[in-house]
Amino acid sequence: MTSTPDPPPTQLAQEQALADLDQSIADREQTLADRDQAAVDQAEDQLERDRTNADPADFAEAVHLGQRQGDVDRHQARTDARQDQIDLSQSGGNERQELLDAQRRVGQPQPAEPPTTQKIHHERGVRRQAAIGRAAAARERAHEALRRAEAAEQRALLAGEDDA
Amino acid sequence: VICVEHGRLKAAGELARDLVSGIPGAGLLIVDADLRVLLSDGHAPCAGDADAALGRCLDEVVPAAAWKILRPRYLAALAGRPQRFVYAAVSEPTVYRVRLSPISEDSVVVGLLLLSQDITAQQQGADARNLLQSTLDSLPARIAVIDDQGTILVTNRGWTACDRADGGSVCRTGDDYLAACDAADGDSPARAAAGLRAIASGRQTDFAMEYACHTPEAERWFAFTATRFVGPGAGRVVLSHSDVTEGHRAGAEAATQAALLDEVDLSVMATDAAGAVTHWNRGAQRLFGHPPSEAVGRPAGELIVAVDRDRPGGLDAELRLTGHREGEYAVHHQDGSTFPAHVRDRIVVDGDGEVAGMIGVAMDITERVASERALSEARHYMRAVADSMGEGLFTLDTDGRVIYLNPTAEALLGWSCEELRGQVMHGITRRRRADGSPQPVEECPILRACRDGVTVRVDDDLFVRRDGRGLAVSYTAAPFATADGVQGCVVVFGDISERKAREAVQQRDVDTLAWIDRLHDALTGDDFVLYAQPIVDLRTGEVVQRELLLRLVEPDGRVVSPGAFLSTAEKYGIIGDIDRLVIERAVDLAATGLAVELNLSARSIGDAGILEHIERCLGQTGADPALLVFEITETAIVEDQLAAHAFADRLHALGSKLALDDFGTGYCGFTYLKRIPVDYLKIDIEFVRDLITNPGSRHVVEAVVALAQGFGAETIAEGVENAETIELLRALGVDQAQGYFLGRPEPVPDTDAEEGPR
Repeated sequence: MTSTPDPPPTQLAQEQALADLDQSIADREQTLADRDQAAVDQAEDQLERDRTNADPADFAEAVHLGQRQGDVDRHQARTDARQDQIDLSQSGGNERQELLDAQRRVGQPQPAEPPTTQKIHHERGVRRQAAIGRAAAARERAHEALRRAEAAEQRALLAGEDDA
Repeated sequence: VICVEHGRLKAAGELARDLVSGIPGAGLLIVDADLRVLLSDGHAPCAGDADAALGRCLDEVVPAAAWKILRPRYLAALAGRPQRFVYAAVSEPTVYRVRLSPISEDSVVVGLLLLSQDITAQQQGADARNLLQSTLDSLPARIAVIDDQGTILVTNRGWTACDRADGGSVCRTGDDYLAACDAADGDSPARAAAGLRAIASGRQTDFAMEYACHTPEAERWFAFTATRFVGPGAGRVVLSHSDVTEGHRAGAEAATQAALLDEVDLSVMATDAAGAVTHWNRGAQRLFGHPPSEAVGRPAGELIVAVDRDRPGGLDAELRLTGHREGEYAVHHQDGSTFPAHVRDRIVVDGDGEVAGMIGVAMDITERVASERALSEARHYMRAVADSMGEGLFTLDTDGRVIYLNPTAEALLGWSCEELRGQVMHGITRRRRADGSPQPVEECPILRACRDGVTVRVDDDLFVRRDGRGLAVSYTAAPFATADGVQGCVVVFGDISERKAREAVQQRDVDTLAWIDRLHDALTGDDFVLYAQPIVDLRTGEVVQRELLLRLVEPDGRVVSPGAFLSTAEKYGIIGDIDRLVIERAVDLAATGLAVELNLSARSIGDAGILEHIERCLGQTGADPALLVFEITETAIVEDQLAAHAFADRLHALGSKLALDDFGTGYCGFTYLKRIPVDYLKIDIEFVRDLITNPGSRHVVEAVVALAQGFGAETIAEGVENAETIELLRALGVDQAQGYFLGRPEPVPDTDAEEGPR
């Protein structure tokens, strides 16, 4: 236990602590997912450069590039699935946090616990900023996903033209 | 030269006229130096009417065409040069021999005397003889005409040339040819003599034979012919010897060629320019049925007839235009049957480039067609087999290039046959090295089959699909060879992913059975041992308790971690006995004053007997329950929260504590914490390992600490491996920590522990 014990926690505070742990784990998952996505993007960029420099008449090289593209696509699919799972979890987390916030609004003010109220206000502000950050990150991920989808569509079109 | 005065010239002429008047065909003409006619008897050439001509110049009397010929003669005579010539009249079939003499007086030409003789009859006889002789001379054969006695009357130039060539040994004009024949050796002269006599006597009209006349230098052949002579005179027989050596040789060669053509198993026929068959060998007879006697003379198009009439026949316009024609057709035999034939026709042209005929060669290709059909059927059969195979099949040439993929191979590899045909398979189905370089082709077993001509069997290998996925395969690579050697290899492969999965399951089952036996043996044989890893209080730096970790000691001394057997123990109900064993030993250690943490399985949480066992052990040993911390996992709680709740309550009632192991990894909401009293949250190594580098992990640890504080629990960080992490954990408010940096698990000593609970 910490050296300076806090006042006895309320049920709401316990709920918030549980929600915060969930959110921290979700954030960590998101960080790992972002790293994974960055690795996929890097592999895709490298593949694109290799494709540009490849000899079009070298069939074996074309095969190798196609196989690497398959690897990248599967990696991307795994990353997307993981991101969907994180997003789904995040939705649940957001709803849980909104519920907690609502409970907290109903319960205010609680004169018996002024220090805790102050602390709660502070933590709420932190959580709001974190939520805004998560929303911005989610928007960025959506843009990146759209860019990847367009790039994949472009590759598919080029492949179709080569076949023709 | 007649020299007279001009006045007397006419008188002299009169005398001359009297002299010539008695000579048949003779004529006379006298002119003066001006070519005026002084005297004419009317018989001289071109003199015209004698009286009308007198006193007139010749150019007025003689027709212009004749005068053009005669004038140079007269002028030459006036110049003093006598002229002798034969003159053929222009407008009449008369020939004259002419003598034109100058008449001089005192060396001056004063006139000309022309005497002529009509030699028309003589000239015609000579011409006939000359014509005969010229005709005979123009013939290449050696020709002679003999009379009824055999005497040679006439010979031609070829005869005399032969005489000269033979050194004068040949009969000449006047010689008795029959006598020479009778005197000569051999059969041929006698036969010739008999034939000549038969013609001379009128018994037959002609005779012919061929004879050889060989010398050491050369072999020569002659054709001897004799026919009745029908001309005037004494000649009775015309005979000739013709050198037919070249013809004889050509004939012999043609006969040889014909014999050869008869021997070859080909139909050879030739036609003339009109398309009628001129040659039809035995092969043609065998192929089409018509004998040469029936075929020769008929149009080729009637004899070689295509079943579908798709082949133009004979020497038609198209063949004349293109010069050749070739193809395979079903054609008719004379007996009505049909057969496939390869037919090749070619135009033959003469020296002037004109079509002289055609040569047609045909061959029965029944066997070849049958073989090809059989081969095609076999190929279709093999294709059908390959297409219906459940295994993938591809064929490669000796360079490893793709020839064929069956549909299963296409499905398994993700490539179509068309896409891969001609490409090197090795670079397509083999995963590259980490640096992107291709695997060395020399190491490929498939290529070894192609290269060395050996069958290679590989039970477990990996191909790479088009999309880069690995495909576990087993395959056989076998060379296929023809008379020319190894032409490549055929590879039959199967997807062994399912088989490998089945084998893995089977292996796991075998391992499980083995573990079941082993675990029972270990329980009875006391092969389980406990290791203890210290847990340090981060506030004081002292070891406050130890986590007991189960190990299995194999007979060979090898120590096995529980990860190898726990799942088997839980699945087959052995875990309860193991938990009891651990509890007994943990309580024994607690009885020595050592604070310990022990792990319990989820199965034991719901086992009411476990708590009774704990109570019994505590009662038997007198150990302090407070020195015992029981670790369970989040999963165990979530599986049966009621049981977990009851377990926690009774444990607390005993005075022991409960720890949640691997906290944070279950990701199951943690709401159970509101119902189940937990004393320790053990932060999983996943969040501790990258604590320094990952802010997300730091936030999780912070949240766990806050949560523990909110629920009145303490935190224990697992997997601490460096001092920096310890400092950060301490700063974040974590209570205790364990890990290799703080102390590795060590076998529990048999002696009493020195440290007491703190």
